[in-house]
Amino acid sequence: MNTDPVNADRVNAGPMNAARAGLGRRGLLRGAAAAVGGAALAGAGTSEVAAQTPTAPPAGAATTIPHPDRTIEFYGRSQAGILTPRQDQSAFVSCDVTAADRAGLADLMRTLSTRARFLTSGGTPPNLGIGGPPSDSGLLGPTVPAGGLTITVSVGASLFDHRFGLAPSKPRRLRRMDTFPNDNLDPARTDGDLLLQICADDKDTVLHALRDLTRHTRGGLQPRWRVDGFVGRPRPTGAPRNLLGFKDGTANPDVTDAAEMDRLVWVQPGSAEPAWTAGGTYQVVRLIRMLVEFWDRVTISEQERLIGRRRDSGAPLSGTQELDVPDYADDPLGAAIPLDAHIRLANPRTSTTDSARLLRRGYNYDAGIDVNGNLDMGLIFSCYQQDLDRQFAAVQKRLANESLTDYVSPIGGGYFFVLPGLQDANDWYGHRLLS
Amino acid sequence: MFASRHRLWATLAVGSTACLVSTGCSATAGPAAPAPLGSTHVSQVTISVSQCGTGWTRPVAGRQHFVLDNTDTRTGEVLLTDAGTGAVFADVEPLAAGTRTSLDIDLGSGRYAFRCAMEDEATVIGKAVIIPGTAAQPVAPVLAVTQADLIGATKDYERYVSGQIPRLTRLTGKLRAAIKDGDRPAARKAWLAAHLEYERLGAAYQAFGDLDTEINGLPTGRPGGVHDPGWSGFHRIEYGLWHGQSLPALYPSARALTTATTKLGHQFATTQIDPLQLSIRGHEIAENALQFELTGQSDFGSGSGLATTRANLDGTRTVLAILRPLLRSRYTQLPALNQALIKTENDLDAVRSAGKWPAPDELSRPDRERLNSDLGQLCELLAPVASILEPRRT
Repeated sequence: MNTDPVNADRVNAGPMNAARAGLGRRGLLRGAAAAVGGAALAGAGTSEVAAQTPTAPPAGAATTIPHPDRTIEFYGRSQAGILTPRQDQSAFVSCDVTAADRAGLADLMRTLSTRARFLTSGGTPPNLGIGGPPSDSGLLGPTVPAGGLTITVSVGASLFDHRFGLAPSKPRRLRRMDTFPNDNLDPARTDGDLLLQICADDKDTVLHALRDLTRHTRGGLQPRWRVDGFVGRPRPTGAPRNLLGFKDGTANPDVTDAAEMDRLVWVQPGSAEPAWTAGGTYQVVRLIRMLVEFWDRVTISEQERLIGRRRDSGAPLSGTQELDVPDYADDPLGAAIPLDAHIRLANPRTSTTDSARLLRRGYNYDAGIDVNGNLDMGLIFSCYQQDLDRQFAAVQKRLANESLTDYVSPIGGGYFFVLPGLQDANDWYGHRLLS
Repeated sequence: MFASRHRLWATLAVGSTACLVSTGCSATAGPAAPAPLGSTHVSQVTISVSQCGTGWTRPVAGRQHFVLDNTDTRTGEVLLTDAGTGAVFADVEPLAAGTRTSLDIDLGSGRYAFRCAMEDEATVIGKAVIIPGTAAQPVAPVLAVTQADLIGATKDYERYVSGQIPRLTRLTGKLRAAIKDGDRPAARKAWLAAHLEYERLGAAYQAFGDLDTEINGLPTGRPGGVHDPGWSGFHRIEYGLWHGQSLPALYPSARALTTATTKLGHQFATTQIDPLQLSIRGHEIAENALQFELTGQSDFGSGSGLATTRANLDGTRTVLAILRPLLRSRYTQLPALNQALIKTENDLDAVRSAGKWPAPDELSRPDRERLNSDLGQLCELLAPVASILEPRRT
């Protein structure tokens, strides 16, 4: 699927945003079209050219060879979009529920389920004739491809307040996001009743889903904050890089190891949590702005000591290759990997911290500029864990006052609980919670 | 340039009619989208005065992919209808002479007929086609509305506006007087009363043409912005009243406003509004409130966006009452729409305290989200009104 770096360079030469993940998958032809000057917009001009040579691609149009459509299984004990290998594009949309009562909330959940089921499997939207505007935005053409889409629905602590009578069913650890010592949280980008995590192979698939979901839920759900994310391609190999330029995600639990996932990610039946939560998981989203201008003015050795890895190879400073496992027992004083290096604080790799490991599935974000002209970009840190306190909160406490905090600034996010998966066509999000 | 293209299409169309359903045809099929695969039933249907609807030879329930082929020399409109009731399943307009387009739709069992309404020709109804069996209709057809059907409603609306205009003129007169007297508090009060009266008429999106620009225009699109000498009307006066501008300096604007509202009265008395405008109005008054009032875009100091929104809901209610007889049998969501309108009105009224409306940016987050939600949902439910009541040839 991935192309070689030569092609990637050619793609970079095109007028489209080179940072856009997945470009490489389109390979040579896309790059060639871009080189032709693919700024041409489709439309009347395109079809006129097509009229002359119906079988040839219209000259001047951006011709793409889309990667094959794929469908990610929607049903299961747990929702998709967690163990699913990261798709290239994403949107994290935190919403507040405006439905007036519990019945309204259940209606909302049923509607979300119906739409998510359609969007993730694809199909042809109904023709409503003259009875209304078109039933679909048309972003993906007359037949909607599944596009590797996942929609993951989770709920925040505020959903369990007085409005819907859900207080007794609240997951035990769920609460408003803690404010950690170095946080600079903007209330307008923090918390929320319900989080929609929408991931897909293409950005237009994400936006199509978002427009569809909001269109069908206007009366019951209002977006509170939103941030879109993307994953870079491996540069040149291994884990993709974050916007500090470092490989990110190298050390993550093995999602193919079901036992490990049951130990670290999924809430198990018979646990101390409310029964309805089995198959769910705690999700933490942290919007971490990276002060990239400042970072770019820091020497490479300082950058590497702050992270604990080589920037070029991703190898831990105690090793040679990306996948080398850092050995802290041999380095008690931090001669190789400083004691307050990010990777060392985050995962000290001791037996006592093993159960605190969590599943990270973050995205880069890029959100314009600040008043001082600096770029607003960074990381949508998103992780999943069985126990918010045993895992995320414990790791975060270890990271308090790490030196890296001079270069990153948590500005928002929230704690959520990912609802269990849908079993079949009659099931709906939160069925066990609301019934 | 265009004409020759069309001729080229026509040639291609003729050349490819023989290989319609076979695979590998799409390359020569020209402009129409390639037929989707699967259990879709593909039919090429001729659209013309002489052969309207021919070509649908194997009618089967399920997903249909029609290639509508206008072989006529005239541009036209194509309606797929219930052969018995005339209710419309789909409307394709325009379909230019010598062009083809596709129509994808799910159909159940029933009797169907294509209607071809070519320019300057009487509508031709094609031969009825029967889809056998007992397959349910996925989407119910809607009885189309004609210009004639809307004449009564349009007259009702004109009567309503005409009836309100003397009051509007009186209120703008009071505003002018207060400005002339140099009484700013009185002028602000009079401004609000007059402006709300105007907003109650539902003059959304340039519905009153150039006069609306004179009466209620925004400075957007003017090089000088709020300081542009060409900007006049309610919002110009609002800007002055709430930004400490001298009242004598505002007097010419106030005088121009009264002149414009008087002109509006004459306009309504002498010209007929387009029935299409009325059906669009039913939807877009609320759309306008969502876009300009709830965002504060049209607030130039008075902070009266929610009061305006409330006045816009009154206007929506008035238009809907006029349109209701036409909607009742056509719009299955009408009860939900009524509920949504009531809920929006109630939720808006609930944020008003001691007779005073907060500015939109003073709302608490829950109130703000509730109102966004209400207006958004209301617009979704109003959108079909404009579609259903768009006048069509039948």
